[in-house]
Amino acid sequence: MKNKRIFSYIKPYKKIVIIVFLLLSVFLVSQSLIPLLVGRYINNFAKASFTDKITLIINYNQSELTKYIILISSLLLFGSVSCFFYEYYLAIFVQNVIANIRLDIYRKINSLSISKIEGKTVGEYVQFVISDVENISLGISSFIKQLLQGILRILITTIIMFCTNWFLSICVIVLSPLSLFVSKFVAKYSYKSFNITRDNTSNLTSYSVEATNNISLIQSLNNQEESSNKFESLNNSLKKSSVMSQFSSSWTNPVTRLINGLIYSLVGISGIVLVYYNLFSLGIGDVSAFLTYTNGYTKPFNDISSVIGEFEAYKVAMNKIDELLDNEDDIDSTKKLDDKIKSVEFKDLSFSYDGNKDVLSDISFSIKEKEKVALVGQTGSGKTTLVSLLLRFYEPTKGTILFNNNDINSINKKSLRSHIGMVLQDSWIFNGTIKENINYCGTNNENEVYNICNEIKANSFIETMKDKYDTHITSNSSLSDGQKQIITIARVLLDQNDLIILDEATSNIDTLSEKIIHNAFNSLTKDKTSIIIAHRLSTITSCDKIIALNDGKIVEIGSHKQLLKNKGYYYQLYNSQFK
Amino acid sequence: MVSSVRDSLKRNISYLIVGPTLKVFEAFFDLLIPLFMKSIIDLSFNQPHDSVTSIIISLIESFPKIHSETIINYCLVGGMFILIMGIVGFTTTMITQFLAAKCASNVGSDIRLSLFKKVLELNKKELSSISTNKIQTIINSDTFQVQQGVMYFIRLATRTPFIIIGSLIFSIMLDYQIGLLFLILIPSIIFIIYFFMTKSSKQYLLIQEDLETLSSKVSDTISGIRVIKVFNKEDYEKNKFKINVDKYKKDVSIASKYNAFINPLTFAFVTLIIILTLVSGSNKISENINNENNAFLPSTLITLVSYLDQIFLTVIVLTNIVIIFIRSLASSKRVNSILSINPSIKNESNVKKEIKQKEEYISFNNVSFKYFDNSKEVLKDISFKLNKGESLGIIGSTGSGKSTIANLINRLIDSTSGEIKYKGMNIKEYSLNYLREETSYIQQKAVLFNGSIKSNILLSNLDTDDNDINKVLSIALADEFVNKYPEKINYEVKESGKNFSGGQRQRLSIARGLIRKPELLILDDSTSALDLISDKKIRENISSNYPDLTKIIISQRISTISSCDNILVLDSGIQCGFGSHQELLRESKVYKDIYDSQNRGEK
Repeated sequence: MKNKRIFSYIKPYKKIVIIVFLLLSVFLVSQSLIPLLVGRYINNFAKASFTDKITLIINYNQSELTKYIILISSLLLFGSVSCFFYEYYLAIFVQNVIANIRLDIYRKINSLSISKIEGKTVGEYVQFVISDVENISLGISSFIKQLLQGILRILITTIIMFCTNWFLSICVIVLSPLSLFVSKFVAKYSYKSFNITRDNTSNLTSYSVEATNNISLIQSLNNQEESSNKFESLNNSLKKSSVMSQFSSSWTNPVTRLINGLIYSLVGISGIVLVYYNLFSLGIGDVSAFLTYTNGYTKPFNDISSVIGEFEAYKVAMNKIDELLDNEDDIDSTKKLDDKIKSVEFKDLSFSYDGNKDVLSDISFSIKEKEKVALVGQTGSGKTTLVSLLLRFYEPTKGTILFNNNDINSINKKSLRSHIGMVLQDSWIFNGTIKENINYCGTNNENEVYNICNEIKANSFIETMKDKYDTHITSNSSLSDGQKQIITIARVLLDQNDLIILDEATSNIDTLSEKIIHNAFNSLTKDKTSIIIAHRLSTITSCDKIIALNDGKIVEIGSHKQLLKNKGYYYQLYNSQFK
Repeated sequence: MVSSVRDSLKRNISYLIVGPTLKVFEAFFDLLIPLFMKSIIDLSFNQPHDSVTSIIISLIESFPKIHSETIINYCLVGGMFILIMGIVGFTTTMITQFLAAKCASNVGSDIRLSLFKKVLELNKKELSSISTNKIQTIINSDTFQVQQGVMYFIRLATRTPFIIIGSLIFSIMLDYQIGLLFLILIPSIIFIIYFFMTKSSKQYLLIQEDLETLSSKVSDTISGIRVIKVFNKEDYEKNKFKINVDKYKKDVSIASKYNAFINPLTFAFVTLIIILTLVSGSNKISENINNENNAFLPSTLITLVSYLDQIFLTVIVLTNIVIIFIRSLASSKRVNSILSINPSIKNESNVKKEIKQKEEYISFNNVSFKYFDNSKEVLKDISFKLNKGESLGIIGSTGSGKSTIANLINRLIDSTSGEIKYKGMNIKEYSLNYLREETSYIQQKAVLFNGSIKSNILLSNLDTDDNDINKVLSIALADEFVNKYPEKINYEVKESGKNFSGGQRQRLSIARGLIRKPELLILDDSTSALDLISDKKIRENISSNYPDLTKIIISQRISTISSCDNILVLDSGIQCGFGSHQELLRESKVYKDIYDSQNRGEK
């Protein structure tokens, strides 16, 4: 089994585990002894008499009976107190273990490389942290609450029964698990129809999610009827399979009840016969105790067998988490980049995501301090990849990048990134207030937040919002794409960096506002080095250096004027904007 | 279509009556077993007869002897009765179980389908007040809860109360004092369980929120991992996450405390009742030792303890059912909240109309629109005309109301005031199908559905061949990447088209719009993810292949719309100009500003 990792999480709570185990034992012993004592109590005053006519004679001995009552009452007290603390400490223990697992998963996610992280979808990670961990929690608590508790209960009840009467004990022990076999048998048959139902459910769910996400589109495509028909046919197959699976699973209870009822009567009747013939010196009260034991004897077996399903889910979740936690952390280096970035040089750099097709090839150029550089080119020409390499999100396949003449591969990532600010193509808005979203770098000077927003005219829309800067926003908020971009630009401008990268940061902003933002950006970053990627070329005409990329290769480098004079690739690209 | 959960239950009323009724047999037999045991004991040990079991006793006594030894005979006959009752009860129960599964699945699927159809009828305005997430939860999980509720109703609604009440009645008949003791103490157990359960279920609402926070934190982190890394904020995020985890841990611990009370308290209570029963029972027996007609026998005590067991086990089942019922009731309210919406835009008539080239195709007369009564107007007093075969450009900044015009023409929403004419008649006179059939509205957010490229293109037009598909793909410049796949147009499209880039999705969605051979094409920023050269090429392709097409082109780029016959300029929902490019350069300041900002004095 690969599931050894869980022990490292349990170890720190060894003491709690032992206490939980002791409390559980006390509770189970008290609970199981009570029926026996009740039986003994009845035995004590109602004894079978075998003199002339077989009957029950009453023998009322007050002090003897009081002894039993005191005994039962003290078991009641012990049992209920230990039961409470057992359940409470168990929950505390499980919660601590899974909180630690959650934290470890989150830590791991943060230390993986970008390509590793982006290899899985957001949903998958949410599943790791939420449902997989919940499954582990369920697995651990059902392991203790059902498996351990079930085994202990069977053990204790068996011992008590054997001490009372071996013949009836064998009846109970042999017959009671019978219902378990039957329900197993039923489960095996319903398993298949359950699988079909599950598949049908997930088909229907994914179709309905897709459709309801795009209701307006379906309407405007005039596709409602087809959609409804498709849904209906998926719905009908779900209906059919769900009748079968729900019916087959509903066999378990009646079957168990039938078998238990029969065993109950059998134990009762054979008990009566034993008392009647005065065999094994069995009392009538003992028969009553055995009837209670019979009623309760199958439950732990059912509990144990129901654990199996939860345990499967636990194993799957644990293996997935194991695999995630076993991933190597992202590679890093130790050298710190203490000085400001004075020069950046790309040297014969090539890069490929899959090892086959080069996304970038033979890129060489340099950027000096305070230079404004623009990257232009069609979609897919490798602009975003280029800046990702600059941040060491990926390692170059060939060649390298030099920062102040230091090889990027030798520079510590944190120290490298502390010099660089970047606005990405997809604006990232997290769950929090607008102010928190803008002040992500965490400056203490709140005025700076307002100043920056003023400069880039972000305050015009922020002021109209419900709680202004304290308005709570999420990634799905009603903010427009343009507003989201403005927030992310403000966020980067607030963070004091030497090198600022804008990757199509204004693509969703209308041209008028874009102009304002670019003017503000230029004045705020006039002492800084910047790299700008833009579709709309009007925004980059003033850059010191324009690098035109096509198919991962540099086609042209030069200023706007030079490149227009060249009448080359850039000229074509530029003119296409004005038809 | 059902109009509410109740409506769907009414359609399945026969299941809801027959199922629970059949279930009574088994419950009744379950109640009789302890009495049969008592009778066997009394008969075997020559006990005085008691009135409760007299019928059973005479039944056993009058049965033909099957064994010479009296006690064995009683045991065999009694056992046989128990066996027969068990089998009969089992058979009727199995019928109930089947009816329950059938009825629940019927109700579930009725509701799901009705919800789905209803949701597809809702317009943008109505949808804006319900989140898509909520709709999805209602269709997928709330219907399931209702379905569970129906199933458990049929399976257990009669059984549990019947057993509890029946056990209490028999206990009272056996001994009214002890029976009354049960009657008082059983509700106290139920109360204890109920009390702690409501406490902890309130706590679980908090826990649910905590989980949602955790999950949104994780999805925020993953989607923003690059930003987090650029800002060197990994440690900060870890600390924030730890705060969330700790909050969750704390809230769960509180709920666990409440839960931890339930088991020990019920255990204590049941044991207490047993003690009281024993003490009072043994007192009764000893007081009447010499009374021949004594009804309280040792066997009575055993039977009472048995009933107590049965009541206790059933109470636990009952609390679980109550939880299921509460959940399914809440769910059915949510289901009804959707089913009861009366869509304001409906398919009404079947008017169809043809018009000639250069006749008025669409006109807006003082059209305004707002989402809610008290909200800001998204469009205000918009008026313009578009003739057949002409093109209209709409320009304006984000949020200026450009897409709203397209939505109005497609009747995804209806105007709040003013009139929209389509082919000379009020747009509301036409059937939605006809209107939408003639229009292809290609939205900025290009969405593809799970399936193949072909199935996505064909979504709106089923009777076309592969040549048509290839033609529209080449017009939309999608052929260059589609043909690279070995499967060509049969290449798989994953959920929401995530295996395609934004630009590829936009090209495919344009192709999807063109295959319907629409009369009116609305391009709503549909090329925003494309480079300028491709954008231009696609527009040229469309013009040369569909010369008669009436077009509305929405964009933020002047270059995209400047060649249109007329251009509508919008600024925060207000019309700031209508005319040709040249006219607007002279007359509209807003247009001139946009033009300048995009041209920067070059050229």
